[in-house]
Amino acid sequence: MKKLRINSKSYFESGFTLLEVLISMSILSLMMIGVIQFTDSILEGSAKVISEDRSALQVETALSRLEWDFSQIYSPLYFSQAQNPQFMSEQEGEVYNRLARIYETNSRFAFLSYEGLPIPIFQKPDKSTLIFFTSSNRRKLANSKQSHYAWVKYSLLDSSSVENPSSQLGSKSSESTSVLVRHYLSNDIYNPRDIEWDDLKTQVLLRRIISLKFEFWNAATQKWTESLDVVKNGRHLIRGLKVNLKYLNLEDIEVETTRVFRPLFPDYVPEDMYQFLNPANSQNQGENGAENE
Amino acid sequence: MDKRIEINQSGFSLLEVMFAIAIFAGFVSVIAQTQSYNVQLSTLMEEELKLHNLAKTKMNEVLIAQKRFTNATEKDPDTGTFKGDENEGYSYRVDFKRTEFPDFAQLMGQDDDQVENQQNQNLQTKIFQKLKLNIEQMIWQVTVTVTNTDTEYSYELNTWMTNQDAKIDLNLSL
Repeated sequence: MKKLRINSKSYFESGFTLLEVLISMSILSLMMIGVIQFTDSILEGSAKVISEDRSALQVETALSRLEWDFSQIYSPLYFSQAQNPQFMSEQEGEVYNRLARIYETNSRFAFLSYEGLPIPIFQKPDKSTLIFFTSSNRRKLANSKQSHYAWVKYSLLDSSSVENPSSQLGSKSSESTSVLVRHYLSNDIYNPRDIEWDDLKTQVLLRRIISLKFEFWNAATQKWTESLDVVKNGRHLIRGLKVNLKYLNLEDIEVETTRVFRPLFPDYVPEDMYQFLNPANSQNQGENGAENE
Repeated sequence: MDKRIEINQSGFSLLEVMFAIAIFAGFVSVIAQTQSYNVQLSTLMEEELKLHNLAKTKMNEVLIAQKRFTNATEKDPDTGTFKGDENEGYSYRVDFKRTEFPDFAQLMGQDDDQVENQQNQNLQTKIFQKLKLNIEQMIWQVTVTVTNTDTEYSYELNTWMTNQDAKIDLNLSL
């Protein structure tokens, strides 16, 4: 009897029974599962938001790179006009002819402006490739043989030809898409030979692109056109650029965006310098002046 | 002996349980809020980027197309909706306004009792009036407002444009 008493006393002092512990553990584990699931969904959600934001910003970064280059597109025709041999003296004409012959074989520059500046040739070899001359270059090293000017090329490449460091992103659909790349030539820009774009470093701007379309502003018809040759002086003077980009977002859904970029050069017609040289014209000018008064 | 049994079986009081639940609820609601705040910020960023890009694109279109200014331009804002599936639900409004130039007296901060240099000032005022007229002819203000018609979020861009047809008048005799 005494023994039993001791036993029953120790029953109360010994803590929980096995059953109690098991029940409490199972309740706790159920609760923990709930908490873990909750935390997990939150972490997943925030990671998804971050990656979505990042991919949205990637598109912005790629397009703002193009905007930066295009806004500083350079051609003397924005502020001047082409040299006109008609109003030259015989000596000047000889010099002009000699230069003109050089520019005939120059694949980068077409002819000279009134001030004698070479006028670059902009090119659009296919629907999604644009080559132009920009003043957006900035020297990274002092005293390097570079100026503000550079040739730049935007184009689409097959995704298989560009290495992808983050291959876990490469889902099934990314194989049929293209990559927007930028090539940049800031050295020896006045060389008359064709530019060897393949030898230049390829900068990857944006992956998973379905299509890219460049259009140019035609001031004469006030419409957008796909051909540079339709625009008056379009190969040397672009007033506006419309970019239409279709790409796949993270969920493999096609997204389309259209942007309009413009050069920083103000849109105005430069003064006709030859008007002052030609006596017949200058007389007209005087009459016009009188009318204005 | 009986007392012991009671103590061991009493568990938590109601107050204790309520405290525990309140603390846990506070913790959960903070996490949930942070999460919804993240999503909200992300949506807002996307919306703002979209509005900004549309406004900029519209502004560039306006600046590229050489606008002809007339007297009616001011009262005739250009409104419409953006084309394309991805831009559905977004409308734009382009306002043109003449630049307003303050008066000469306002600019110089003049008082009425400064009559000493009357002669000199007359000439200055005249030149200034001419300048004012010319500038008001030449420079126009443009405002592009893009609105999401569903959420009423809007974004505004402003700039100046020059009027290509402005006649500059430098004749001071009148």
